[in-house]
Amino acid sequence: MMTQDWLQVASTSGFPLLTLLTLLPTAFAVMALLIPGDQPWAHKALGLCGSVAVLVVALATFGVVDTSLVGLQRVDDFSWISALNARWTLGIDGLSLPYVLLTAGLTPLVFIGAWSAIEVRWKEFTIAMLVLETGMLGSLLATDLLAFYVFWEVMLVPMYLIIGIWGGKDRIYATVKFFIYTMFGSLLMLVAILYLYHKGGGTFALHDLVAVTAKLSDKEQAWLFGAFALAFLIKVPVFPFHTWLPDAHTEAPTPGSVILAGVMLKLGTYGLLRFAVPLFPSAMGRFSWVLVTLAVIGIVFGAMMAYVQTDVKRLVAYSSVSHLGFVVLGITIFNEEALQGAILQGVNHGISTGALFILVGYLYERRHTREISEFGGIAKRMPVYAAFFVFVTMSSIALPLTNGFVGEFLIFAGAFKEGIQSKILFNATGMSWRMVVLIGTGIATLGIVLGAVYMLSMVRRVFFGEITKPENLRLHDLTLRERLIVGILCVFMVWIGVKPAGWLKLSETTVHAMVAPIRPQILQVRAPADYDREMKAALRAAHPMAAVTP
Amino acid sequence: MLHDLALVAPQLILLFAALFTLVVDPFLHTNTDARRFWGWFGAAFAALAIVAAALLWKFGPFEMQTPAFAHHISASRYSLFFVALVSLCSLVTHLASPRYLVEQGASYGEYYALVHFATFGMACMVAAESIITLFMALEIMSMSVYVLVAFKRGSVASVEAGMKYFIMGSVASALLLYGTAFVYGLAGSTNYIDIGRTLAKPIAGGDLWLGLAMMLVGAAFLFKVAAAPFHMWAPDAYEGAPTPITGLMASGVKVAGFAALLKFVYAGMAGPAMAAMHQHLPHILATVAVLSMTVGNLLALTQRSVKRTLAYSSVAHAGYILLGCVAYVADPTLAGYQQPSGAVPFYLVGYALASLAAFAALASVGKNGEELTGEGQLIGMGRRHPLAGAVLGLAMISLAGVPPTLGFFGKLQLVRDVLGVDGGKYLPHVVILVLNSVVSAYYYLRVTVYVYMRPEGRLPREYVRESSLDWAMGLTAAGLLVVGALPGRAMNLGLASVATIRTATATSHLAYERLAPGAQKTAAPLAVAPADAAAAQAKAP
Repeated sequence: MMTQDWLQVASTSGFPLLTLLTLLPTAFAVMALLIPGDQPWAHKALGLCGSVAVLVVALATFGVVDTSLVGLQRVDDFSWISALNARWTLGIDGLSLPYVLLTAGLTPLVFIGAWSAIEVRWKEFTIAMLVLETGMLGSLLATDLLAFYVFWEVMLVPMYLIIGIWGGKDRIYATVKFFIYTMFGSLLMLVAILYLYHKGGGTFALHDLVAVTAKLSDKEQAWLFGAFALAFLIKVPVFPFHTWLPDAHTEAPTPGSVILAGVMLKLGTYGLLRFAVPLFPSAMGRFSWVLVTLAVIGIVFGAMMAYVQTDVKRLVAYSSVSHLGFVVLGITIFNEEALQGAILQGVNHGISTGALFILVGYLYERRHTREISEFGGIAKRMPVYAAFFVFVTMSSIALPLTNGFVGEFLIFAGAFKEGIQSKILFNATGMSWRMVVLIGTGIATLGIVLGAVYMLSMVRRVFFGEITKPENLRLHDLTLRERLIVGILCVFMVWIGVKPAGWLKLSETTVHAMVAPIRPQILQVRAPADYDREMKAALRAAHPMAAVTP
Repeated sequence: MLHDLALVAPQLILLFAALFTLVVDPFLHTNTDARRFWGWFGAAFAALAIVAAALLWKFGPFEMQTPAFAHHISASRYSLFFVALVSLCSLVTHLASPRYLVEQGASYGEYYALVHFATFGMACMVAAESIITLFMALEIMSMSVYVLVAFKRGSVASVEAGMKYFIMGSVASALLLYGTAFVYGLAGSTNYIDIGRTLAKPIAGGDLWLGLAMMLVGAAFLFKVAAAPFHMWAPDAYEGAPTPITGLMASGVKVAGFAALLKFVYAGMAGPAMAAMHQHLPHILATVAVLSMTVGNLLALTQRSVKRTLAYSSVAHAGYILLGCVAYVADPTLAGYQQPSGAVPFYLVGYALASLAAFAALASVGKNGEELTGEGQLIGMGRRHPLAGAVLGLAMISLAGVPPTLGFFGKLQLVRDVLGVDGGKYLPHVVILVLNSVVSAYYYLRVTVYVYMRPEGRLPREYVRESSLDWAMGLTAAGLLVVGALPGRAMNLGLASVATIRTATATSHLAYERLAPGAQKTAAPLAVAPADAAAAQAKAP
């Protein structure tokens, strides 16, 4: 079996850059704690300064990371809890780098956007948002399972408060549901982590545990994979674990929705890639068909649910369920194209859906309603807003030359390649992987069409036609600040859409190094004939002479 | 004699504070408001007791039990750890009490003296080396707490709670006495070490009587720590008692109960004569644990008063801790050969701090003889009294076991150690514990919902402000967060404390049974470094 080099330490650093990056937001949160709450402007400024400082550190990290290297870079490794042998291990590679940049980039925009969206209790908001940022960055960087788990849970409380305090009418129901759902998943994962810890002789280090899991029985692997996958699938969320999402998204204030959709959902797919699949590749092979099925149901079901919504924000929330189905599909396929697509699509969704939530928030701030029927023809009153909205919609429905197209195209390219190349008709469980992939991907393609249907019909009903409501006559167009926020996001949509190569390069080496050891183990279980074929091909590639003389 | 006195210095400090308060207070011709200074006084003496315990820990050779007063009481890292912890509970209780008592019209000096007496009882309980000391200490603690529960003389609820607690508590004390009588009858001594030596040899027909004794003693302790099915008194007593005393009951009484229970089982009842029973003990404990956590959590869901909710939550936490005890008793010989587990002491620290924080915060809502601790009455607390709101919220998050608070790491270590027993034999129990945590999150969150999220009414509520109360809340909250971020040191302390009773037991058994020539020698390194225990175990035949 090939070792998982991509989880080894490639470089350590004298200066604890990643620790700084992770804890800097909390440092600013502590500062906010010391400033009295009756000075909202101070907290607004502090939040912005803090998040910009984090962005600067994140860009500096980007500067020093060599994306052509295999393995974790700039690793900080300190003893943390000696009694449990838990370590403070942070490292960055091509898998986490795009998401770190996304997180650090979105947070300042969220703070600027919140100037109008959040009206009360700025102190608490600033603290919650900054602690949340620490949780998100830490989850992306930690490779010690306990540290990861702690960061993963640290995200929970601030988001709970953000939805619960600054949210809409049914915020309490939504936020408690969000909390309980997520906690349920993650606590079972904690039990699985501790089970692994004992099996591994008392370590939480990911690269050590990866070697341990292969020795476990199939049954153990299946259960443990189930516990990990459940935590991540709830977070993503994948059908049928998605029911918390529409409530949470709809009730959350705009900054909460943006962070939730932009980053937190991505942490579910990131967790699958970083932890669940590398730890349990053969269980992944066994349950690939389940994941494909759930992803495809999510894609179609999410799209259909989005179509019937009357609330714009709820519609966007269901569109997230649909879009993240594509990402999970790409992860399950697990070849290089699909993975690259899945990682990039995660970033794309963060940008596009984040922008959509911000735009919906603008409308809500003006009219205090999000019912589609309350609008109509507002493009006449708000031309700039309408232009931005239509543009972001195009990105969301994956029009070529926008970012969404690149990601979805790669996922589909990878999926169809997998299906067409798969030679086996039926595997040991009587399941034809070829059929699963081809049928599943075929149906998923339908999801793209449905995506266009629900988004465009919403755009038509909101922006075009006659103005029927007198309130809409008084709407004023976007302010400079508002244009700036969405404008920045739009630049990235075009940039990724037109020149994706640089963005794909971020994760290329890591994905390559990740597929090499893991994919064979997955294939061995889910499609043994493909496994033989790919192994032979790999051998031929490695030893060209041997192929000539069989 | 002087040496003996030095060993119990923390207890003596607590006793002195109690007596001093009792004697001096009647001569103070001041109004009730001025009696608030006893709060600071008591806190200072509790802090002094903590310092004394810390100094003893640092400078004394207490890796082993060091007996005093003819083996009736001892000082060891185990006892010092818990003495410091119950003194901390007393400290916070003292800080949280003064303003509350004035508001409730019960500001009398005896209150502070009784808190000291209760703490003294707890501190002696965890250091007890014989059944007699154990029982007397337990009674000193219980009697003081009975009175304190009923201390709001004008309040019917308070007096009723005190009465109920007293009657049911007396039955529990009787059970303890009856159970230990059997032990005495079999062993011929009230001393833990002598009992341990007698029980090192199998006793013909002893299983029945020992089993009966353990059952009775176990029931008494389960009553004291409010574990199901002996939890019936808890909700009424918790609700009726003055709020700071509820905090003391949830933290100090529970800590002392668990510490004394573990020590009794370990030091006294661990001999090979108990082998037959010890095969069943883990199962029994695990079953009671699961019952207690499930009952506590389900009933807590239905409560509408925060004090009652927390009473049931304390039943649930007793269940979690009992499951943690499984990690101690699962080794059938109980001779300390297993890798020791520091889970229970560490969990108790987290639980005690969170409970104290919660009840200190709740002490700030009472006004003019009213408690006002219904959920609906907490609406707007987060804005009107940000510190109390935040501390209450933090305590709830910690009790729910959400990182990065101390409560999470307590639960983490507990689950880790229980999962490590017999290759994951208790996995189902752990899963039940985890599911229980999810259930409990619901009612803990409900409190934060009322504190922060419900729309406020038009009537602004006033909250009680007092610097000592702010200190109580600040101290406990800082503990939850700081020890939560860097739990390593506290975990090591807990481990070191447990290692003392484990190694002490192991040493005495090895020495007594003469398992191998030079058994003393083999055992000696165990006492020095718990980490070496596993290595020594590998060498032992």
